Amino acid sequence: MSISVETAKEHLNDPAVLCCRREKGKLLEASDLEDPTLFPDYEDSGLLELPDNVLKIGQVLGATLDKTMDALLPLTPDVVDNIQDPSAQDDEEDTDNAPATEDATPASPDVTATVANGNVSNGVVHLSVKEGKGIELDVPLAMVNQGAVKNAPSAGETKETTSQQEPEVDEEVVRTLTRKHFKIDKVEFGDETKIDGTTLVIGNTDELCKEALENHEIVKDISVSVITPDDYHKYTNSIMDVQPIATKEEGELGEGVTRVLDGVVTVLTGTDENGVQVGEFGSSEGYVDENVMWGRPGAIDKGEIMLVINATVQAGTNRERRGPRGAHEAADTIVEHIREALKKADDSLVVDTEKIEQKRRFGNKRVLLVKEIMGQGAMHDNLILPKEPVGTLGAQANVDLGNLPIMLSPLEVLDGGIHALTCIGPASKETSRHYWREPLVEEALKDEDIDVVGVCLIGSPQANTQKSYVSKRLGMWAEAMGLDGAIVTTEGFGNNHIDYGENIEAIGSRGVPVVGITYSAIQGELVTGNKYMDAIVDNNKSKWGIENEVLENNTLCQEDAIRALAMLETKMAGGKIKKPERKWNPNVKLNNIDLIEKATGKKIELAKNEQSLPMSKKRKEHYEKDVD
Amino acid sequence: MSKLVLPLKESVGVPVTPIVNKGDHVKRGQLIGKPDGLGANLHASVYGTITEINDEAIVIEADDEQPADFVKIPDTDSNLEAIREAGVIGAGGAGFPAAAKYSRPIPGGHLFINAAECEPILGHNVSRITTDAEQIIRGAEYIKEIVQAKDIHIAIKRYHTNVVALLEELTRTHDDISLELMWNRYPEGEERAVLRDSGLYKKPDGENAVLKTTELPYAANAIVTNVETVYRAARAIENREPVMSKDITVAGRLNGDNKMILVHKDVPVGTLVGDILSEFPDMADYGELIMGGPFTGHSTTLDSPITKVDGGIIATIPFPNLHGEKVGLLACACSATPARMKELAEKMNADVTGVEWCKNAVVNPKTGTAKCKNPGICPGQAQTILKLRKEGAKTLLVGNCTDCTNTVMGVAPKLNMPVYHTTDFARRAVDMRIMRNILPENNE
Repeated sequence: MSISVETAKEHLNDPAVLCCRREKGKLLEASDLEDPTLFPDYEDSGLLELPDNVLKIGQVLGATLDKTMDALLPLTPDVVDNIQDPSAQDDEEDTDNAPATEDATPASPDVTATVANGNVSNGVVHLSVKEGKGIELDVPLAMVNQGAVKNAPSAGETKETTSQQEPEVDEEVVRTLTRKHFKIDKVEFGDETKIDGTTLVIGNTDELCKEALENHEIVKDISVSVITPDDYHKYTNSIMDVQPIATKEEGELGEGVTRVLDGVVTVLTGTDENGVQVGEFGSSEGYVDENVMWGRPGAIDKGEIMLVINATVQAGTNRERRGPRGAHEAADTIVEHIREALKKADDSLVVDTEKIEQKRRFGNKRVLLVKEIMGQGAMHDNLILPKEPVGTLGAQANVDLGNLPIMLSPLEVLDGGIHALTCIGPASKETSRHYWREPLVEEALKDEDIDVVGVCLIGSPQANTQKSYVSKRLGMWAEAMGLDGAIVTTEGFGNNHIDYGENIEAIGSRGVPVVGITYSAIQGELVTGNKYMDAIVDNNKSKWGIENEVLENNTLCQEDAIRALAMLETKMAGGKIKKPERKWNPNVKLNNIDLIEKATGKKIELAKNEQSLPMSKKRKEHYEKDVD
Repeated sequence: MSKLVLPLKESVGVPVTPIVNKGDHVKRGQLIGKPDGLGANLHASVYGTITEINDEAIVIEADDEQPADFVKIPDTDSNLEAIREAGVIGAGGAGFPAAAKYSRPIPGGHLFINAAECEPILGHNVSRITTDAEQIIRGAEYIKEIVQAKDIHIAIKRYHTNVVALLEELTRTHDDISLELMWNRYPEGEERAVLRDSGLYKKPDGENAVLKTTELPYAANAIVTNVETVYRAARAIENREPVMSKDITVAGRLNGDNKMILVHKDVPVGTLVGDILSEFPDMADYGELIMGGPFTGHSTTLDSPITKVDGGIIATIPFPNLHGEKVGLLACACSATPARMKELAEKMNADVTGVEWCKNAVVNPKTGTAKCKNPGICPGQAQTILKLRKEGAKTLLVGNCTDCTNTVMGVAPKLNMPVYHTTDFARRAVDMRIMRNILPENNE
């Protein structure tokens, strides 16, 4: 089917294929081109073969057909004259839109502002839309039923609003969290655990390990080692968790003052006594530099020292709840000693003091962040709200809490309120450090156009009946809270996508706009769907859309948080959500990012993926064996 | 002569109320029915006796003697009134009362005389120009004056080179008349396509615009009227002649296997199809009789009458027997309706597994007919064909325009799906190339 000018703009980076027979000399326009979302169907039926040198839509709009061509033939450089340079076109568009963009930066405030002024009192939203002047946000969508989550664009066109239309926002700082950073550039073993300048000394390791084992019978052996940046090409067992080393100096978790070590993280690894890796869907054992996606919120940053605590659990318990749980708790007794030392460290060693404020912006749209966490049991569990950041003591396991929705303040999340045991696919699980640096929470707190009311953690139970039970409670919460919008995230893929869908439905069916975030792409295709799942952001970063066992590769990053917030604000403002493409298409995300950048005038840094890492044996043999 | 049947409702609007009685003897041109509201006067098309008046029609038994003179329409104050009195209606098929159409002025606008004759096979419009071009041009000028148009545009396909030359010669002294030359593609001649391609209706950005499917040419300050309608209007004004007859193309294997396209001018309205075909005692077996053109016509019977809007009688070749083949129907807004396509499929002994409209068809749920968003310009058909295939179709029956048929032929063969076109049987009956891959005409 031929496409409209608007559709063509959303697919500038997609292949250009003639929809119909066109004669030589035709000046190519959108109506001559086939809809790229249909290509998978056509390829499946043998109607279409896309050669490597097929031109992009952005290159052929305005170009001339050099040869009479039949329907569904791809346009290649040899049949098109005057091929356009889409980047030049982009610049031109930027210039055209410049006045509107400047006035309207960033996009989201306009959406919200217009809506807020749109007489929220009577619940009617008036949104002025003016073509060409507005901001277009292209946001990805879920592919429901068909499986793969696709990023499909949504065009929420909003007109810039004048200043008198700004909503009355009553900003209030609810609580503040101060992080004091201590720089560590060396970790060594000694007699006493202490912070000595910028050196972390770990005292009497044997004693620490012995103590750790004493209280955790299930753990048969535990060891502590250090991997320094110049030694990253080192083998480790599967990484169960990455944790910041932090402790409370003052106040309870989520407020007051927290001390944290920079430059070093705890990395928990493990196997059972038979050497079986602790993991369910894949494991990340191997050389660190090949199996860790540096810099993800939940991963190790390149340049950091890894304090590796390796636990060996009783044979066969690697997939039982008590095995991984024991490993985490045993390791935490070791880390606890470092926390104590950190508490004692002299304040003069603080290199940076960071103040994080939780603001309520009363008058803005009330948005709840819902983080679905794994609660199926075995290693799929999370310890919620320990006494110490990412500790274990004092925390309750969400499995024990029945996986019911639990409300945390955003600062509780960022202060290590979740000790993550989760161990589904390494590329998509959220580690403890992920919550410490949760990009969606950070971006939402920064967003001046919404009022973040809280972060709700909801477990993903094993049984379907339990899934419905907890989802229904979430829906009732959403109703009671009178939300204007919600973002639901999940980690992993597969089983948990059932409750992910139910959670979105529970909120969406109450008339609350919802946006979902999950890894899906090719391998994590959604197994269920409902009509409220019309706005989904895909966390995938991997080139091939798969779970490739590279730690944290496909987790929620800043770019995903920005897309989700842009989408939610569009949706809350009554913006249109376009239908998803049939198959996963990474170009849609890029198109969306382009458009958001254009609308906001801000550059969005895209995270690198596994292609930036040396090829691991596993990738070579399993995931990318067909790749040259 | 024989029996003629004049339907009470020949035009858009209300049927006429008969003003004659059974047993009355009527003269040719005599007013026999008047509409009570929007509609058109009905006149006797022959000398004869009213033998029946029912809810549908007035039946006249024609006299053996048929003098050439006729009953003239009454004197009128204006040309528009003459057109109204004469019962002129759109002769191109739509049947809109001409006087009603012309009574809405388009000051400074454009009057389009549609001689494109967009249906293949039909030739009576062009034939009429060859014999009566002068009167047609005078008629166009009368109408232009009535509607207060600025200029006149005659749309005609360029391959009628002789007629184009004739019109160029005759309009040499008319600064207000220009020719719009069209390609021999379907549906060049659709009024919204004519307007779009004339270049007189523009979008703000200067590109040629196409009227919305709900809009009439008035929206572009234009009127599009069929060339025979103009001729009949001119006859009404100058000859005081009511509409009593219709030009008809008669086509098919009319004499053994000889494939013929004949034009019968001035066939009395009400003449039965069978009486026209009785002139061809040696005609070959046919599949069906089409009233109208191959694309938009409908099947008819020997006892159906010719009305003021009918233009063609085509006897098709016998239908192939598909022996229950699973066929998907792809319907086009400018062509056969799904109902008509199902009728054809049944005649081909095919099993219809699915029906899809072309993406550009905007369907009127009341009538089941459709209008095309952008006539003659293909919006792509691959997705629709895949859908039909998914519904079980192994073969396609399509009604598409030239451009879309080309698309279908770029798709269906790759899926190993044979293609039939609804016009195949009519075209084959006159030895006309069937619709498949249609190449563009030579520009020279």
